Amino acid sequence: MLTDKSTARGKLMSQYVCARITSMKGINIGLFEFDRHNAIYFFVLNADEHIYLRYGGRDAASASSYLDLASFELALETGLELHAAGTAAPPRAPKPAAEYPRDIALLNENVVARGRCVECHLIDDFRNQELEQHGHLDKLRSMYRSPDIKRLGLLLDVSRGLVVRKAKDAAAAAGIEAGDKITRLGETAVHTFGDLQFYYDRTPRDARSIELTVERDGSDRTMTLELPQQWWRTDISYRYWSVDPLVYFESRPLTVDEKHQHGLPIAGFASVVTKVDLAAALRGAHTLAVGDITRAVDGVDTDDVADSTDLFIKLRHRAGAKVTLDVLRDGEPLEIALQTGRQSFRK
Amino acid sequence: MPSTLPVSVAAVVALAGLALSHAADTDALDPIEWVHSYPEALEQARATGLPILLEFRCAP
Repeated sequence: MLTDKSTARGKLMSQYVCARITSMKGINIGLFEFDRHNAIYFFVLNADEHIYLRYGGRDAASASSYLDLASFELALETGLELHAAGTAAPPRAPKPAAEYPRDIALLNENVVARGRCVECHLIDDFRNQELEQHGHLDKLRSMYRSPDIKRLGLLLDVSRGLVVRKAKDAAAAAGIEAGDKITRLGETAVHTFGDLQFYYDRTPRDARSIELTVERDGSDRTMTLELPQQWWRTDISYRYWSVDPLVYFESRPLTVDEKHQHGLPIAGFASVVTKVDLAAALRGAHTLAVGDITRAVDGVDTDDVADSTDLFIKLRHRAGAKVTLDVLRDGEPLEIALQTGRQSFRK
Repeated sequence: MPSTLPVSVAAVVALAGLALSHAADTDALDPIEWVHSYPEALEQARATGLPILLEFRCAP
């Protein structure tokens, strides 16, 4: 982006040291933590590495749903105000421990040590793989990064930063109104959508509510939003699935009527296969076909979270696992073996 | 397996929003200068007292 210093944006940017980083090699990724599936992301900070705010974030619909020039300029103005106020205010969170790409063994082995570009998304890809191999991966958090605030009924006036354009559902029930400006999530000050999405993502997935503070008519009001069931669940089809295992098929949950028709538990995850990856045959992973109804996995047909068979396997099994699927094909029951796989992240 | 293509596409889309004036900007007489080294940015910030605007992005 070439910006002339004489423009409004240029005048703001002239008050910054502007740095553009296109490889994460040598970057303290512990300090600059963000959802790596954002293709562009900004931090405003001082020379002591005190981060004032973030600018970035996205939703499933578009990488630019929450990015525009007006909100960018607003973030620049806010950053200057925070810098002028000094760092007397306590940081929003303790400074995280330093971590570099070379500290993630698989990333170091496959990318850093080979002199390849350390792209942002590779950091999470390999970190997740390493955690999964050691059995420490929180799949709900890692698969469903950056939950969508629209599920709370929060629609923002993007050009005005965190000003609410419309409040529905949980947001409206909590008392949030159009025109309110979100200023805090819990105890954490938020200045931009990037801030809000980053800290919202840190909410434990079993949380039942969050507190938002809004500014209305010059005064602060704190509202408690009751989180809807599976509030963290969003459309993640846009993002590279960086969480093992691979299951080599996709399915959609059966409707209630379909479950009744087949005598299956309503709360179960029985689903119909909608897509079979070519790799399933190439790797001998399974022999499922589009249209098969998957009823259970190793005799299990219900789950607290999963509502489809492929999600159940991804959530509850590791790469390399062998499972047996209880399947209906053309009305006839059969058992199909499936072996999950591990991603390579090769280009 | 999905390819990394969606990430690249996302980059283009995301940048589009911030680069609406790119065509006009290419004729800019006095463009904003970017440094491409984080240590250099810290050094400049210490020397000038300015805050840092740090952009992470996929390589164009």
